[in-house]
Amino acid sequence: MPPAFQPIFKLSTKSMKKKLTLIVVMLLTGCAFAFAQTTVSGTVKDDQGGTLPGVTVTVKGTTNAVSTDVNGKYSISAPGNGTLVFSFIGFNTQEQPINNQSTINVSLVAANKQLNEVVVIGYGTQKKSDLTSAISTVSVKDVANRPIVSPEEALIGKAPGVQVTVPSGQPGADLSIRVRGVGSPNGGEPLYVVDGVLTNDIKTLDPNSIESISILKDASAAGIYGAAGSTNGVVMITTKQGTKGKAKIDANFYTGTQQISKKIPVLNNQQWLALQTEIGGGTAPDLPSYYNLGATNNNWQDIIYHSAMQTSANVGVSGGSETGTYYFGLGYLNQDGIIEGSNFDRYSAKFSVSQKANSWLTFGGNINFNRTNSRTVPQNASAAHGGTILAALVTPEYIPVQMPANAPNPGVYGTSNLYSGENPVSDIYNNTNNTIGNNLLGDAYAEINLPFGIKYRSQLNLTNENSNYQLFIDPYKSLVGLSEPNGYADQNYSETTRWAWDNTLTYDKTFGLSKLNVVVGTSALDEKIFLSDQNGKGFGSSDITTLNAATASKNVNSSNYEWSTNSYFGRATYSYNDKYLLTATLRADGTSRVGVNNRWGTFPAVSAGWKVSNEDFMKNVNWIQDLKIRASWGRTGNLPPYSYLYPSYTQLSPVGYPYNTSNAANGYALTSQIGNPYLKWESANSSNVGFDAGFLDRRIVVSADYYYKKVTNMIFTQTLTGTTGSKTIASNLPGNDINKGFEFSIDGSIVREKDITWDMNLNMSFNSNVFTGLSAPQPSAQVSLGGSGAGFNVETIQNGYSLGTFYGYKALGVDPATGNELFSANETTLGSALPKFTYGIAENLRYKAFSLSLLFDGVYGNKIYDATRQETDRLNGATNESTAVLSRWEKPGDITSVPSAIGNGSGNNTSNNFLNSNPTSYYIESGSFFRLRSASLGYNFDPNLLKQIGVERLRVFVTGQNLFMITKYKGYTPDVNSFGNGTNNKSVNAGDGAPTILSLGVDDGTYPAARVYTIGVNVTF
Amino acid sequence: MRNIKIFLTCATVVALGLSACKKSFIDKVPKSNLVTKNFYKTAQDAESALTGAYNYLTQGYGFYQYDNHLFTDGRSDNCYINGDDNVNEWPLETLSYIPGNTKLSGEWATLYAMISQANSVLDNVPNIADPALTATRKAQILAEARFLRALNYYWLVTEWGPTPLVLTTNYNGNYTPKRAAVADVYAQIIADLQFADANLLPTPANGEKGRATQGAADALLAKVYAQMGDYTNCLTYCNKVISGGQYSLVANYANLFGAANNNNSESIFEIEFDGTNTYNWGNGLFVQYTDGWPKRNIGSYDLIQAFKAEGDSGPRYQTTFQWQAPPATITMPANAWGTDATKPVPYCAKYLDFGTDDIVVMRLADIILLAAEANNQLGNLAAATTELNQIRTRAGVANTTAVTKSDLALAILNERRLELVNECWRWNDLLRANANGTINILTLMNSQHDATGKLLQYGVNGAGVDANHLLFPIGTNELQLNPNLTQNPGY
Repeated sequence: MPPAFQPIFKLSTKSMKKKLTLIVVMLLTGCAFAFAQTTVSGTVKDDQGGTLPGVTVTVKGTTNAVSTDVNGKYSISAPGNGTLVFSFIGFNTQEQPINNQSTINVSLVAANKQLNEVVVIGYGTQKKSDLTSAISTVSVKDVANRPIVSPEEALIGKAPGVQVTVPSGQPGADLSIRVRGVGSPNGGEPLYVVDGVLTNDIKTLDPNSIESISILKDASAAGIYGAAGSTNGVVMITTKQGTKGKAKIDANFYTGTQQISKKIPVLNNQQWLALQTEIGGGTAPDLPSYYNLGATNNNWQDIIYHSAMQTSANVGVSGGSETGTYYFGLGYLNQDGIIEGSNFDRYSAKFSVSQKANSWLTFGGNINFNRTNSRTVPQNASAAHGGTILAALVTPEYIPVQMPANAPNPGVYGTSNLYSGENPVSDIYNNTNNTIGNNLLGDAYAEINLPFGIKYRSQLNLTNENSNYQLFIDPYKSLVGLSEPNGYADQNYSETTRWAWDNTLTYDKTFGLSKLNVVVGTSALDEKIFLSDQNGKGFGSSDITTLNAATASKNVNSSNYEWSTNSYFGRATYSYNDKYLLTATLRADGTSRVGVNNRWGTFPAVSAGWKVSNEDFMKNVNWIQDLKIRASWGRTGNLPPYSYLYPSYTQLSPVGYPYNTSNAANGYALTSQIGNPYLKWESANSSNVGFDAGFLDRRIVVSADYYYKKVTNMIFTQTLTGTTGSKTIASNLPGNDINKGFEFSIDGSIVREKDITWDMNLNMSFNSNVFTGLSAPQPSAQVSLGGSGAGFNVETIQNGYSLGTFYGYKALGVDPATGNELFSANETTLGSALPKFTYGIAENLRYKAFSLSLLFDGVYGNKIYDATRQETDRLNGATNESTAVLSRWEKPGDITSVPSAIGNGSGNNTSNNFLNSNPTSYYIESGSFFRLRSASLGYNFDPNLLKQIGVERLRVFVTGQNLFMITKYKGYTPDVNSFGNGTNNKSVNAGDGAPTILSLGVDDGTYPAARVYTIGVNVTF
Repeated sequence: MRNIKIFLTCATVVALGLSACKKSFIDKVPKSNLVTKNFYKTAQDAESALTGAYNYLTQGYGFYQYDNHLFTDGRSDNCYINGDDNVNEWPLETLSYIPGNTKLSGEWATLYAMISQANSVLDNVPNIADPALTATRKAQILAEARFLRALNYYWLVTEWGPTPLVLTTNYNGNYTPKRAAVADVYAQIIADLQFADANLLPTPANGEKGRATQGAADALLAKVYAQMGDYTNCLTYCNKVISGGQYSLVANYANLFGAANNNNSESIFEIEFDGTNTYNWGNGLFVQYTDGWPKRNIGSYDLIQAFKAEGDSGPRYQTTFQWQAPPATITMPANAWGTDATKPVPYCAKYLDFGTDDIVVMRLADIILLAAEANNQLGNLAAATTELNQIRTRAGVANTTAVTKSDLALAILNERRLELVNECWRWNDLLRANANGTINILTLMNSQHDATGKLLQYGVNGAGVDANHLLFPIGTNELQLNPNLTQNPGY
């Protein structure tokens, strides 16, 4: 535990004394009294002495009210025997008897967030103190000060049980969220619910438009979403809404630079030549005269990595009256990639309104829209297959950027005569590509107050995402372009439109000591997907890049898909005497995505809480506050992968047959996949026990949970017997995917002084994953690795091991006598890509107007298959290698961990062949890391000075991201996953046959993460 | 106000129910993929389904265009396989395959995949009520499908022996059938072919060659009966084909192969390739191109000696082989054609039109020689001699000198060998000749030697071919997936 916790005790006693003093003073001031109508004035401050503008001051029992001015001053006419009520959002409401005083100065105490914070749960909200399930809420206030591109990024290191990984540093790349481990071999991403709208991703959202994020981690919380509730948890996002009062304008701007944080040293030309000579068994490679080893020294990493700009600006306007509020926001982001040529920009707009029409009707809605443009560079592929990152490592330095005049094909991008594959500059610039995305997420609702205190809400949701990818490989600039032949163009368009209609009735009632809240509802959801892909070859010019200029090999494909669900759900929350809490939910889902014979499923959940601190016997216990013990059980589901959108049916594919050689007839043949009308959703039974408690007058707040989540009915592609023609079928195979773990979070308000505050949060999550009950090991995702691009199964799914367990031969070290790497006789498990624990530490310090925020995060105990090294350290082939091979074995007796290169080129070294054609532990490394994810230093200008120029708040800041990292990992960054998030919950993979099992922890030439430095400003008018 | 509230209460209840009342809301069927559920409704659907079954003759691992050449001519004394797959192809050359051989298990499944396409026609077309589908055409469609099913079962039963009889695509959860006795498989094949014989016309439907005809059914019946040892029935169906008048020998053997000669007058059943809808990639692996792949099924030393012994160096010999120096060392078997790697070897020359050569499954010369074999076995030596000489004459070689039944049996076997190189019949010819005592197949295979006279040492570990290896093994993976299967003896 960090030493920072030590001083808490001293400081807190001091502050308790202060509070007592304050109470005494307040009691004394209330002693005198008089009764005439009088004018009362005064200043309202916060508990740290700052003045509070906008506080509502009301004479109790009347409608007579004023607001404090910009200096926190007020003046109100009131009876001398009356009482003033001071209320302000975020502060505890305070009542002050006037007692004929003419001046009443008040210090409002900030509301205890832990107690009064309202948390968004499915189809409603709940006071955080009343929660009985495992829900983490994440503050997103720091988003405005950090170079955060996507909302998921705001969760990094913030919440226990929530691991956010950055699979790639490519601008605009999807991030990956894992809630309590990976809940299915078919995918680990949670369900997202934005303002009540269910969606698979949140790329629609500008992170600056988010008000709050809560993560439903256990089945009691997520169960209300049933089959879509996802065994991977639910991320609930509420976007910014308008607030009552005069228009408030918030503007944020930052700009900065990004740099690569690490380069991997590679061989220079002479070292390459020496290595090649060894590989050739003493024979140097034969290089044509147009290569010049002496004069051409291209450091490819220096050539392609550059300092890249990142700029963001956004503005939000909010305001409203007693009857209606609005929020309007605009955002712009431009992120150049640290690799030349890559870029992402986003234009976003957001609009929210809410209007109370009359005593019984309120209506409103939200629209979030953005348009993105991205230009990517090829990654996650070997150099031979156009992967830029690997090409920058393995292209020898003597290769020219462009071929000289005396070479064949002069002027085209430089290549080697010894191996196939382009240099990295060619990989970037031999093509143009651009993806334009338009993303819309919106909703409209009406709320009607019915008799008997019942509230009816009807909400219509819409998401629309389209993406248009255009690629043009220039016909003449590179060998790749020439060999297509003459260029290649591809246009890929996808559009996913989803609507949903939710209707709920809510009943909220207090009967004496009992409180009851009941929600019942229905939901209907329908999604339509359109996919099309066109490509062609044979371009006569570099100028026209669209497919109308293609003359050969034209291919055209388009397809439509659709799915729907229909749901009934209900939840009852009951509390007695604010001590005993009980919640029960039930959802029934019918969906087209499962087999026709198993259309409907029910998902129950229950949870209970006991507010121990509210018991009489705790009255005299002062060292602990708000102690609550929680327990829950429930069931959630995963819909089958998008690739099995119609699992019930055996599909036919169009084929032709040329009768008479020339009378081509169109026909249909059965595809190799048999329909399974019995296919069910994957389901998870989860249990959770936990507690929340405050200590030292809530200066320390602790939350801890233990959970056990068992996923059954896992969906695998089963290959049937040969007598069916080796057909495949989507099946719920026997077996369990169990995640169990312990997680906690500690919030400490270590220093809370007028000039200095210091808050910190520590959260840690221990998760262990294991498979049991499988009837046979399942092949994991096949990954194309290595220079040859040969397919490897680097992972296995088998009983007693976790998902992402690497499987292959153990490398046993280099035999000093022969220089050969030795390997185990049989394949074995080689560690897991899943970490043993993850953690985050957030520090927020304020000294007067300066504030410093630090965010550390880390993972421990995971392994990475460093497939990059499978190319850079392969001791074979004619490509360049990393300087790690300089310590290779060269003569008998050498003690080294790097095997011999001598004669490997002949193909006779079985040890080297083995290393290059099998998954082995030689390339498996520790993926543990500890990093400073973000550090931000800000300065708040004096509000009193700002007032004079009409500004409410002005803050300037400098922020650094990924400033340092401690890791043993040899590649660019251990926060990596080449084969990312899985493809099964993405609509663009609709109907493509077999789902892909998640492959975890593989680094195969992935775009490295950047170190970012920004300066910026936040201003409020 | 109160009225409004009551109205709203009612509206709420309606709205709550509305979103969920339509049951069909969650019944979705694919829009861009046809599924069996909404297919098989019209006359055109019936034709399309049958076309799908024909198309499948060209799919999978390429049984007819590639692997069966290895399983038959390659495995026999006709050719050296010379593949680049040491694990799966080399053991086919040496007759040392094991149950783990993925080529064998792959093609076993491919044959069943082709059968399932025919079965889906047979399952569904009878239920089509479209009046546009006449009873006659419906019966023909079923007959064509049953021919395709019979053809695939012929190869399963002759190469693997007892094999599961799967006759429907309505598995009802039963994916693990038992093996059926050889006699039962033959009975099913004969039933299918007799149905085809009864319902198909002598000419293909719509004049479209490539479709099964009565002649194709009869030719295959003749082959099935021959393989069963029933020469009487064999001869009946041979004669039906020969005297039916639908087929005539192509005058010049040189005009039998190549895309220009697709669907010639001699062809009884062939698989159609136009290079677009269907693509014959298989022939690219036999014919010597400079694409770098090692070419399969190079004529064996023994085969060339057989041509020489008959003095056959005319159009048949020249159409069958293409002598060229290999671009790479011949790998299998080592030194089969001598130690000089630059010396020309006899590549297959029957399939020179990459992509568009049809595969001739059965042609008239094959049936005439089969008739000769049946006549000889049944004691009609004169008829046998006439038929044998008819083929020899076309090939440009002198009439046979064989007189006795046993000599004639050898002469006919040899003639079939020379006539049908790389047409996938040699292995089954040898099995028949072994069964009726003309030759001993084990002795024959174990006496194979290379150009230097050295024995090729076939069999497991070069220990000689054993009788169990005359049948392929059931795949290891298949035995694990299907506990009802048993392995062939000796594996």
